Amino acid sequence: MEKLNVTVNGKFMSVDVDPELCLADFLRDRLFLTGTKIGCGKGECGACTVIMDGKAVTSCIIPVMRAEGSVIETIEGVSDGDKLHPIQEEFINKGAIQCGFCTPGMIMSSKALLDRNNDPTADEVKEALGGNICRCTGYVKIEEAVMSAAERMRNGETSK
Amino acid sequence: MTYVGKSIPRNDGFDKATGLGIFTQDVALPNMLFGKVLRSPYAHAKVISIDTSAAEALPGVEAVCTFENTTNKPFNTSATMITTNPGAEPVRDQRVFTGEPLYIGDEIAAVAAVTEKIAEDAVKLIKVEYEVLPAVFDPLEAMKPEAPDVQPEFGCKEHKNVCGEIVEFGIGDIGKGFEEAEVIVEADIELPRVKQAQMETHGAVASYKANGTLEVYSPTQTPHPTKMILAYALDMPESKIHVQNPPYVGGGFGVRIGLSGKAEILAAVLSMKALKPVKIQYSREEDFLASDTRHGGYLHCRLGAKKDGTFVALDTTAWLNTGAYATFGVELLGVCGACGTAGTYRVPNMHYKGFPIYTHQQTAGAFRGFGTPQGTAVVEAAVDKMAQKLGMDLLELRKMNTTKPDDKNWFPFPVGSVAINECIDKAAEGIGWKEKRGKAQSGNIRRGVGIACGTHVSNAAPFCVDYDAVYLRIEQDGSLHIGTGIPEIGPGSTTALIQVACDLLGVPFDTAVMKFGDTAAAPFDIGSHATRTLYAVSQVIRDAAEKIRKDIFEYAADFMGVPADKLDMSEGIIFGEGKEYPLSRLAYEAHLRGKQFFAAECKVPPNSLPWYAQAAEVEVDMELGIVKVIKIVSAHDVGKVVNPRLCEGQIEGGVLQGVGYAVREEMTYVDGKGFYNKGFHKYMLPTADDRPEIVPIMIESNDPAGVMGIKGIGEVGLCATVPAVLSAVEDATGVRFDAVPLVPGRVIDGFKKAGLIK
Amino acid sequence: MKYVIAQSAEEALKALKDAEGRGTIIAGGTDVMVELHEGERTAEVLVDITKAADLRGIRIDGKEIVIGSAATLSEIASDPIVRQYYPSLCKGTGSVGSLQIRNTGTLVGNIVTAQPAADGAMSVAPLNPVIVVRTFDGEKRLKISDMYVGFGKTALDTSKELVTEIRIPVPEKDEKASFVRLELRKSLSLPMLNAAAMVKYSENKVVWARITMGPVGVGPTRAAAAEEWLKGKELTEENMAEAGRLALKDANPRSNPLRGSREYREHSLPIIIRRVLEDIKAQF
Repeated sequence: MEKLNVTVNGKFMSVDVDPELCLADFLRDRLFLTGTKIGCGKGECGACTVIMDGKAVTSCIIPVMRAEGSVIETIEGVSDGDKLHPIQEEFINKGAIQCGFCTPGMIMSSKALLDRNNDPTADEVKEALGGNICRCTGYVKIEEAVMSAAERMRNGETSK
Repeated sequence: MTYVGKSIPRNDGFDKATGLGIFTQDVALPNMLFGKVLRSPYAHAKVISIDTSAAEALPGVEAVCTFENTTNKPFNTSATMITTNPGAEPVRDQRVFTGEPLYIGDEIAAVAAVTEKIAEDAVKLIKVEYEVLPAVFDPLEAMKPEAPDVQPEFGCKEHKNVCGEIVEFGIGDIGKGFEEAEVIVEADIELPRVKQAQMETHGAVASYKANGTLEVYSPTQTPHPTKMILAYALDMPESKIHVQNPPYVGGGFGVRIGLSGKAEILAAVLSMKALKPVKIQYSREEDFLASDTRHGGYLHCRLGAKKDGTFVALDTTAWLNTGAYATFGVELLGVCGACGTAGTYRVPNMHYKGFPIYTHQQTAGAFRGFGTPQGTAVVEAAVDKMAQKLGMDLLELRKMNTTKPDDKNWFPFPVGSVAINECIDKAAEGIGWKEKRGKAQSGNIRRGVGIACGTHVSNAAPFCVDYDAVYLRIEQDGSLHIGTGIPEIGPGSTTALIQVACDLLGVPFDTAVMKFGDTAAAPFDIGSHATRTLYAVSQVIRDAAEKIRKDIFEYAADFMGVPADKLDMSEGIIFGEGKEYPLSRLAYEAHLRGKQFFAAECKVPPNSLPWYAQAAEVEVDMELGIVKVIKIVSAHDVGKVVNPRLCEGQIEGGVLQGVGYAVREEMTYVDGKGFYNKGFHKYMLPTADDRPEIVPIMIESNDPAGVMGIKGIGEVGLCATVPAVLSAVEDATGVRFDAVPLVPGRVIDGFKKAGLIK
Repeated sequence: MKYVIAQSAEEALKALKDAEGRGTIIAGGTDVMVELHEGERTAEVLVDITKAADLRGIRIDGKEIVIGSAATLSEIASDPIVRQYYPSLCKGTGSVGSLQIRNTGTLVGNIVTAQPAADGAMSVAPLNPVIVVRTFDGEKRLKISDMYVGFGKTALDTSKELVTEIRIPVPEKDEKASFVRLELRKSLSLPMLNAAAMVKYSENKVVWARITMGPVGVGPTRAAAAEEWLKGKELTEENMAEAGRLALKDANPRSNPLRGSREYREHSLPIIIRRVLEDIKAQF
């Protein structure tokens, strides 16, 4: 067991963890943040994407101790109470969600992009989502949702 | 209509966008164990001995099940088990575990332990001695007399390794048809296995208690059939088995029509032994290598026409690789012939023969399109060839031969509304057909456009047992509750159905809910497959809605002093003869008098043909053989659009799967090692940065059999992509390919064969 | 298992020493974690260098670009210094895996895993990089060709040795580099073939050329015959095509069930090499 100091969705915690765990298992099994999904366990599908210190990472291949001292955002921390983030709303409104299994990872990849660059080009959106596989939507409406959320964020909207 | 026709955001959007929606992967029960499976490393072998003592002795292990201590009752993991029409028998060729594995990945044993890691370690401690037996992998090889028998008990008598029976049907006189033909062309195609690759891997949590009850959570597309399969295979009363989606399902595309892989039954037998809940979650590798794929194989087609282009004879044969077990093999070969070859064109003399062939590979089963993409690929190739031979325009030849509304074709139900020619026109226009087709090309990067069209079905009736039941009730405050056994696997069926129900009933959408994906929610429903969910369930909702409205109006008549037959309802307000009365009040008044408005209805749906045409534009790097699909215009006769955005989503998602099928996706078998494609890194399905522009077009033809004119849309987005892309590549390069995917190596080989490069 | 977060190169080496051969360096960890979970690797001590300040960052030191071993592929791909001098290195490091992988993975990791088609390693290979390795006894400076001992095998002993940085000479005005990837899919895929080159081109003559290619051997493989032949020649279409053909002399591609048969790779390699050279020529 090692001591992990980490901030998850705005809450600081100091916990004992098994260092063999990956970050995704820690989030899902220990914190019950099951919104982070496991689609492959090898960083090849993006379903487990969370934001670590501002960057999108596939939490299934991040050793949990890599999170030491870091700030982690998961899908559960994106909305502000009952107020959804513009990205979440646009995913819903634009039809970017089908089965929903890739959705948390997609939203986290989108948020990592838009937090840094709220006026992305189509290619920047594609690059940001290239590591997130969706088998349902053909990505069309996902990219539309990201663009539309970007516009709202440029107008000053966030959930927080 | 208040709701139908509007892009209402899906009702599960909140759950899915917040991470609060629960999938099978997220289900955990008190005292739960984790199961892991021991799979055969050989394509065909006999287990000489199995020793589980070390596994059992490992601390934390609570149950070890093998073919020796588990029921050996034969069954079929697919819904065909319980949906095969009377008169035919389902092929029951699977067991929970086997002592004679028939493919690399076949289940030999499984372990339940307190952690996944311990279960994994225990599986490695099971000692198995195998006698390796001869195996066959190619369907044509498997039909040769000297090939090893894959399923001696279940093969058909006349042909080696043909599963169940040969599928053969036709209309007219095929021999006479070809005699009448003035021009005859032939086409062949070789198609790969491709994988559904739904995002949530197979899995289940099963909880058996010593009182004889079994609770199952799983991502099955068919909760009721899954309950029936489990009851049959485990010899339990159906009433004591409860199957539910939790409620979300991480995609399906056909791969879990019936069991999700084998997860439910594997978890169930372990739970029965351990008397604790057991969770099985397939790894992505297991999902890729030990669950059903699309059928690959070979098709041949002969098409005869008059000189003016009129088709007179069409004869197609399919030899598809169904793998080690039947699952949907027989049914799929039927759909391949029916929807893939018999539906699109009016051909007076049509014949089809399909061979579902056993091999020692993983099983091929249902995958979006279910045989239609295969049949359509070869027929559309033949139509292109016919146009060339006749010197006719591809669009004109198609349009003059497509099925017309009054035609009587092979299908045992009316043709219904037909907007296929409009689909062809719109798709062609969208791709820029006139400006782009047939333009001479030079240089290394060449572009071309192509087109293909087809049809499918809007559910599986009358080809198999296929019916729905719903249970509608008006709550005491007037809000609507719909109970149904259908799952929500992603299309938004549950949202669209509420839209339909609210318009049929005249109640508001925002207070209506649907309980779905649960055998306890309503009586039997076959589930989500065959493009059917919205089409078929809306049929039975209509019946129930009519019943409830009648009940409501009769009850309201007294309260309102208006005869029941003068009443109508909209948005929850009952009105007639200038008076209004809210349903919310009536429902409560009824409640105070001991009455609730509800109805349960059950029905076999009719069927309708969803027509489509797809145009593709491609760009080819001639020296490297890189084929890039740059645009797909996909036009669909959807009957009636219920929710435009959801409907577009079905088309866009289908199209991209079709693009993957045409140019990149393929399960590659390596002798002695099995399929190479163990994960997303080794399976080239499209990612966001590699997709073409996709233009969905929806055409409303108002089908007479569909509720409000609805037809199905779920599967058809991908059914014409392969032939459309092949046609476009021919336009760009002059080379007609008769195999996909068009990976660079295949393209260069084709160019070499055609003499384009040395 | 023990997890050590090293705050400096010194601490990382000390942790390795304390682990007595049972430790391994972990930077991105994108491969290490998968291998540990699959049972393909065992390690009792993981020494995380991502927080070691002296191993991070990208800087100019005299006439060299210095990339710390903990610098992520994303940092390199978007770094203004790298972009100014070697856009091809941005392209190569920006082609690995996916953005998420690049956000944690490192260029050194991309070299040490010794995948013969690694895009990051390939794009840095012709730039004449020096890989600085600290051992318990001191320091050694390796060429990229010293880093590989076999298919998928690194020369580095990650239980005893630590790469601290990669030093790449700042190019002269008449030196340009390029990287090309022949891919089935942009993200989440290894290339069918990749190649990179750097050429010193003066008065329409190749002064020298360094061409690397993969997967056609162990690690990024030098197209020695083509390099030699190009010397003194102008980069004409014919000469670049000939260099491509000559590259086959040093290439031994294998068949891969997904990423191309030997025949296809042999067909395509000359074209890829030609395109790398064309891209370089276009920069002059």
